[in-house]
Amino acid sequence: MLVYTIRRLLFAVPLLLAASFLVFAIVTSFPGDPCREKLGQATTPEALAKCRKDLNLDGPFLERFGTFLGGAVKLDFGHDLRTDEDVGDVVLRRLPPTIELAVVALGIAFLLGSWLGTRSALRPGTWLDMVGQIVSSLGVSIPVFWLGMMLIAVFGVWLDWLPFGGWSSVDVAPGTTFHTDFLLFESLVRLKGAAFLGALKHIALPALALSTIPLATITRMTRSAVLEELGRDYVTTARAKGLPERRVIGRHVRRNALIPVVTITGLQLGTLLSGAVLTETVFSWPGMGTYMVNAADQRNYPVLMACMLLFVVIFVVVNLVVDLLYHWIDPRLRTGLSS
Amino acid sequence: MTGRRAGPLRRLLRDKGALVGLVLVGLVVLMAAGANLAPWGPKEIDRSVYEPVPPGGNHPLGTDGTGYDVFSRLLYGARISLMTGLASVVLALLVGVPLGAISGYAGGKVDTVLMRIVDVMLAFPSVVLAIAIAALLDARTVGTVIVAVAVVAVPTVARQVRASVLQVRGLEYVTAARAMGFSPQRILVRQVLPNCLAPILVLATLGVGHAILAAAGLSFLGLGPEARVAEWGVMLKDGYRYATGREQWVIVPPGVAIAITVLGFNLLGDGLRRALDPRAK
Repeated sequence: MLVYTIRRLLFAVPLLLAASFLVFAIVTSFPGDPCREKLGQATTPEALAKCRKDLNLDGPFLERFGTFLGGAVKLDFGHDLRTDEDVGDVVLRRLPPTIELAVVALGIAFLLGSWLGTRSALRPGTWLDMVGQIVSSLGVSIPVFWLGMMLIAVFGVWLDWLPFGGWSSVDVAPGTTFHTDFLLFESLVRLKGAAFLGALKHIALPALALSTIPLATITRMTRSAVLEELGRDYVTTARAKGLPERRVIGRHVRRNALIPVVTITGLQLGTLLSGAVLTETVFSWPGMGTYMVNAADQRNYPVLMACMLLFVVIFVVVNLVVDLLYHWIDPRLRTGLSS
Repeated sequence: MTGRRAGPLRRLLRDKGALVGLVLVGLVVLMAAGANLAPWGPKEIDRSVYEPVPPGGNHPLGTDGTGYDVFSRLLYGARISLMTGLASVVLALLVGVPLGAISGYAGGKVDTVLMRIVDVMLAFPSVVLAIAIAALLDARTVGTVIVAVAVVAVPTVARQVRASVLQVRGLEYVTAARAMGFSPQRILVRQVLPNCLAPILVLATLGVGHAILAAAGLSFLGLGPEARVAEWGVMLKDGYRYATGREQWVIVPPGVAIAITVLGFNLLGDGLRRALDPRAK
């Protein structure tokens, strides 16, 4: 296990290096000169030169990449071209809302999907199975941004049940001071009931919209995994021993079936982050997604680099953790170290 | 009794999911083909309109605030969406298939290098990479969206084709072809690739759905064509402001159209997979 862990870690380092190289290469090839755009036409050569130096635009490509990488490790991405804020600071402020949104969405999808998938597999052909199949087909076909708009229209405006948009401490829980930007997690940990409820209400619609993407895959995977496990010998043994069906399913089948499902859930992160970018835009969520989209629109390239790099790091690190967890949960895989 | 001998096409037509998929895709193709019969042009503005008009009269699905006819733009949008989906898949195949085939057949260092590049591209959440490429191309057109979506799809195609080639490469008839002294190129193109067509076809069909969804997403984010173009994602981006109002007729049709199209291609792709590989469940 240790050898495997180290090998995977060693593999992740060049991957991240190559990915950051790609980020740098793409963003620095953007057309136009950010300094001319920033300073306008009426500027002095000195000011232009200083700006170019500040933005790391001078020198050979590899040297500039080195500077970028050196800064990135310290979360120093330079300053926002428009607002002049420190991009590293903004990113740290915008990461928590995205993480909370993704975690809640994934939680909904996992709970609902594994339940629906198990039920479908136990009673194939029933209406619940139909619902499961429809969910798993529609989940990957409905545009998440449109679903978000419809949720706003129905639950936010028409029924007026839930707020849509607004994720600051003032929106969520007026009067409460937060020490972090994890509004939901912090209010939960500090047992602030009203604030937690407020946060839950505000995150409900975007998380629900986002959850449909992983929900589809999780439902589908759980169904086929449970079906497969049901045909195994240990199920017959358990039943022959006279175990109640509830225990056979709950203790034996589900536990085994959920191993691949947990992995799939983890690996859904890429599509989840993609969906988060779109969902955040619909709900004006103050996360990484909206930050990145605005930056792309304005060619605000220190911001774009920081966001892209961070998305890649999250993606690679979570995949790594899931992979290691999978190997830790399922000892059968550990024997195949050489592969 | 004929069940066992039924060819892929027969199996496809007996598959309920595939049939539904075919009907949905057919519907969208009909919409695209019939766009010329639409009551209004794709960029035609009804000058008598100052706010969204509800469905009825000479606007079957109403208009948006600009005076665009929702129904007509929906039909023309089918054209753009189908074209975007097909074009980006063709583009992704043109690059991805040779990459994957060479990687799988050559093996060794070539394979390692190519697959590492694929790994790097797959380390990006797809929308993130697509946004960056769209921003790099710096042109608000359908073409930009096509290229961005295609680039993002290339690593997936390459990996899938490589896996299929690896499977076929070890088969006896390939060994026989090698023993007969055929050149690697000839074996790859004439012997190996034809046997990988089935998974590529499935991948391409599912890919059209993914591409249409991704393209609509990019347009919605404002990285696609400008607001006048009758594209479903653009219509939704423009209609976004009506989500909080009463003018739901502006945003419901484009979303339903995207969902139907993507669902159609997904069902058709899954059905094709079952029909072409009866062993797979």
